[in-house]
Amino acid sequence: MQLDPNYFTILSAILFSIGILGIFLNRRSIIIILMSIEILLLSVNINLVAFSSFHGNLVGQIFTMFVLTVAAAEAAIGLAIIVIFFRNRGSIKVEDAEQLKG
Amino acid sequence: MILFFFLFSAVTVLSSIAVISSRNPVHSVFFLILAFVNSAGIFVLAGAEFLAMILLIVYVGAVAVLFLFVVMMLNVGVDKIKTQTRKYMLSGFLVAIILLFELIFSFANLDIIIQKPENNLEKNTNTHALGNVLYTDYFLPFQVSGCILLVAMLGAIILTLRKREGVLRQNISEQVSRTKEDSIKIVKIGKKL
Amino acid sequence: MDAFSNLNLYLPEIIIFLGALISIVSGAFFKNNKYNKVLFLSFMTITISFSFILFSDISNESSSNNFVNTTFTNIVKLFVLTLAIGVLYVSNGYIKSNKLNLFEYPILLLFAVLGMLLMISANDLLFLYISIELQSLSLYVLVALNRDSLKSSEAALKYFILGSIASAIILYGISMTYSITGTTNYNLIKEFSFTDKNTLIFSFGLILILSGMAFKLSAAPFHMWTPDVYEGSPSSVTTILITIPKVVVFVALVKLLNEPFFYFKNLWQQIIIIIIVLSMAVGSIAALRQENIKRLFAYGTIANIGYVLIGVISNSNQGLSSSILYLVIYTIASLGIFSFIMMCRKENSQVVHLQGLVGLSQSNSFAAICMVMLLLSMAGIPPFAGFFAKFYIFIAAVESGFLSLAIIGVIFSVISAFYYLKIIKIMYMDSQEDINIYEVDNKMYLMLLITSLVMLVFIFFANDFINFLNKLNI
Repeated sequence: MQLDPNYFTILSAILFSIGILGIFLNRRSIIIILMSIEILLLSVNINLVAFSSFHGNLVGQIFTMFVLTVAAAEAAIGLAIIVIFFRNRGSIKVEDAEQLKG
Repeated sequence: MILFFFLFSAVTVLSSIAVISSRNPVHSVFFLILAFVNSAGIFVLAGAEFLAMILLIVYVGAVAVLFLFVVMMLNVGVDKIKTQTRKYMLSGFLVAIILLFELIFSFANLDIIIQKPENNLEKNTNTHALGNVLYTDYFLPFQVSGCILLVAMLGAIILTLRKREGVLRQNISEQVSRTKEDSIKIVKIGKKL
Repeated sequence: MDAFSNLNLYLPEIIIFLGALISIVSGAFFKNNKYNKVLFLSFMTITISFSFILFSDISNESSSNNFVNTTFTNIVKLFVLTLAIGVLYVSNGYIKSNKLNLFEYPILLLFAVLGMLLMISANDLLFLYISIELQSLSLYVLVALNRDSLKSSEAALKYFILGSIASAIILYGISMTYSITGTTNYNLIKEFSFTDKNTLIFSFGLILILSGMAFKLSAAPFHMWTPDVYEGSPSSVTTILITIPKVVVFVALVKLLNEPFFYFKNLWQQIIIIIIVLSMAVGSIAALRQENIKRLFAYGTIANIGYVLIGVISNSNQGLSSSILYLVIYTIASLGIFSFIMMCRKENSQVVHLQGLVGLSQSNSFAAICMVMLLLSMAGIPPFAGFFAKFYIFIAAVESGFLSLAIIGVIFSVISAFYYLKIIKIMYMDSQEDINIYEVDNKMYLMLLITSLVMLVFIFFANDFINFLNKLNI
């Protein structure tokens, strides 16, 4: 039994919008924004994997693998940047990133 | 299969909503883990077993733990954690139970999931097929992704490692090459006293 | 075994990669003076890669499935490597006086350059994504390099968050493209025959990819990060950000629009026209009230990107070559201006405000004259190079029927001339109260001299240069 491709696209779209929503609604902590970015990448992965099997080629799965690699690297660098920001500012609230304005 | 799909996707969606809406960042990380585990299930339904495993290992094993580590290290919501210990434990249990339940459930019904789409690659397993493509056609991006990981490592080290003054460290070669002459001073006691 | 059979294709990139690895290992083993030694190694690496491209027949056109070298890409690579050498060379003094001399700085730049070289040749969406990420991740770390400064870390935070959102958006666009076509290769996507139903998804994917790339180019309305990041990051890193990635992302964008998305020209033309008008407006008007030097040039960049994009929508090769000409002149002028900004120090700290430049003509007349040439060129006043850049861009716009766009462009370039002239006024006319002490660094003087001479003598080569670019099949 084959699943309908639309299921996957709808799911991925819902996740993508949740991730975007998380970035824009969030006013508390920057780490949540990082997690929302991970959700965005997850939604892309679901799309790619689903269509990889519907198209019957492996490009999508290979792509997903690279996205996973990049997401891991991104998380590492992002968290490192958050740590140095925290050391300098003493807080990781979104509204505390306000030194640069104009 | 449709049932499984709806189960996994419903939990993924709900938990990602919880990630962005929960007050405590630690809860968010747990819900992120839940979302990833469920999407691994969706990957299996789509015929990508290897990627599902990778998703579990890389995300749940490494990225989410990294997140958790940083959330705990910085005092994000520490005051909340102190006052809401029970709530924190409760949601931790909840996540763990759901996780366990789903793992058992999906492993018990493994034979349903194995049905692959017809036009997938021959008799090779998914892992075989991926490896065949990855090390030939996609060899160059593969190397570049290695570079990306190297940059991430380098970057994380540059940004966060700092040598603090006053911390005692071992310097093996120095410690081994100590001799009697430069570490002990023999003082004669007695005559002048 | 496509990847191994023609190793020659990737040799410049492989050289950079090996050089970066050697630099990391040797950087860990050198006992003292690490920065200088690693800097030397990086220079060597870039030079070897440069001479390899130069001497192994530039016009060599070779390709594999996902990687294409043409004469044009080779020349862009040469230009990128030259800029990288220039940036490393000129930022040396700044880095030392601000105690940023970590040996990782040149190595991260090497990795960013590696990503850029790959991006120039990328012929596959997967490859494009990977190389964009390699470049961006290196740049995120470089922005945060001054880790004890709150501004630097905040700039890095903003750059990182917005940059990874942009990457995710590009990625979602790519996944939509893939979901329709089943491939990520440029040529195959171009050949794909669309039905009415799936055109919509594909166009949506195009819009997402385009907005992500516009973010990386810092074009309005995706420019919010630019002033903050340029202000907060160390000036040497701002010099990198303002020059090299712009060229590379632009070349990648042109390729993307003209190959896989060629048949959707009507759609992306309209989007890019909106981007152009917004960029010129935001860049020119917001720069007027800036007091911080780096912020001012950040808005200047946004406006300049607007002009550069005009060439993309014109229907000719001539339009593209005038865009490339504009980018070349803009990057060279920015390199000169930023080598000057890095040089300005007063009372042991960098000059950050425009008022710090008061009386420059008396305290350092040579730098002031060079700056006047660079600024006049940026403002587009003849006979300096910037005038020809804008001239060819507007000619291309008029010839392809975008007369109104050219008129808007002229209006905004007059507005932006105002703030460039304001800087000259501050340097020459305003009365001097205290004496500025400028770091006399021969390297920066040399860079100032070279760039301002380029601006001055370009008038003699303008015609040859544009003909040369026109002949290239961009």
